[in-house]
Amino acid sequence: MMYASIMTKTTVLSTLLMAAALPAGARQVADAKPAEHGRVAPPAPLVCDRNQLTSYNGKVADYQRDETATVITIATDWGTSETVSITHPAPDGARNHFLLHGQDFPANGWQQVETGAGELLTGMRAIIWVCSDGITQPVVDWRPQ
Amino acid sequence: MRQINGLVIALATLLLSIPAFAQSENGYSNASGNAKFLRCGTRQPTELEALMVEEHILKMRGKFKSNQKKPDNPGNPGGGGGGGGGGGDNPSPNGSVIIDVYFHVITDSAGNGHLTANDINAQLDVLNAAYSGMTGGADTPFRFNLVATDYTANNSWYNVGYGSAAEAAMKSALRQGDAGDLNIYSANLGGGLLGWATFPTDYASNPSNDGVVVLYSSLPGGTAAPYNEGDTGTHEVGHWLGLYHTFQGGCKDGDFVDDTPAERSPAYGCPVGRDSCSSRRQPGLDPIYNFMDYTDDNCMFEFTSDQALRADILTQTYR
Repeated sequence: MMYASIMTKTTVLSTLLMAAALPAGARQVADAKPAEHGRVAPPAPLVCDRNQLTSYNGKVADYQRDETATVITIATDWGTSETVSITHPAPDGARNHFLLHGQDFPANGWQQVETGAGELLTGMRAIIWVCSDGITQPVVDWRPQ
Repeated sequence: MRQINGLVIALATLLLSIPAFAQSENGYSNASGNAKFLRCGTRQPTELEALMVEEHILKMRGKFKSNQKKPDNPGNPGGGGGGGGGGGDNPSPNGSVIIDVYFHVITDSAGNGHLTANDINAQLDVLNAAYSGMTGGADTPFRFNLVATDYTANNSWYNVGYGSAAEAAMKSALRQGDAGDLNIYSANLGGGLLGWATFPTDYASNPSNDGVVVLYSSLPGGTAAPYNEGDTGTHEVGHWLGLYHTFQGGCKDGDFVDDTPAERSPAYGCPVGRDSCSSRRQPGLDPIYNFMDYTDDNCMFEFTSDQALRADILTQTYR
């Protein structure tokens, strides 16, 4: 209730700020395509208390993968940019941190998301599931279209 | 009023000159401190279009709020009618916009995905409870009236995906009514997707695509726990009425609604006390109880009064 009161008092200022920020805000609107408004359930293979879970849904903007680590920057559908790092000690270990369309990452998964080692398909979308328990590493659910 | 408009323009111009509020060339806010800016130069026409929409909404909101304060305001039923008129100057009274609903049940050839009349009526009950404020949030102008249900067995449509040929074919064949009528399609969506929707602003460019698609097992009593109380329908209809996610824009609060605190990213489960935008500039805990977040069905129970206002404006304007 206190928040509502504060917001009422600041409505005029908020309106002005919004007017000033409209170009950027409008860009966020422009980025918000209908598909990106789909509500998604956390995938079954994910191990994380839902209360500690969030996701970054969007288009992969930067991607680096080698044998021991993967770093991904994603332009989210809601207009933010997020970067996550995943460490995986062995090449095979990497598979545990990835999904494909919400399912376990198949043996030939990289062929479906990369054009070559470390080279992601153009326009790749993904949902990065991030657990705030301080233990669980992010899980990347690839969504090639 | 002219003086106020002048003040707004002057202050907006002033604020635009402040770097923190100026348009960045990448168009993305940085919710995380280590995020990189991105460049994209292909969005100009859409940005302009979106800018015009938000400018119109801002103007309408001012008029609506002003007229809301007048004690003898007769109101304007608006909305729900065919749209396209640009909307009136008055907010629609709560409960005054009755939206006709056409429900399309898609099954496979074996009958999977079938929903009973009771299932569909229960979904309508959930919608009406949510949009009337009976669940605890703000009342809104919107109520939903089921006028027809049809059943289609089609294996391709049953596993419909967003933007697919199956979606286009399904909607082209089944959609009924005009801009103000709600078409809901239930099917077996893949990849964990619970549903999606089109916006009011999408209607003019692609009328046949208009509507809401939901996972059939997300209806009340379905098997998609904890998303089986019908609030995927509530959430997607919110988009259909013009609402954005509560986390749109991250901590820059880009859902264009004043009374939903900023939220960095979606919440799941029901994380009471979550505060993902904790700076003094973004007061308030995350709106985890809001229908436009991603929390469990049994966690979300409210729309805010400003969300109701935004939906009313967009509906009066575009539906």
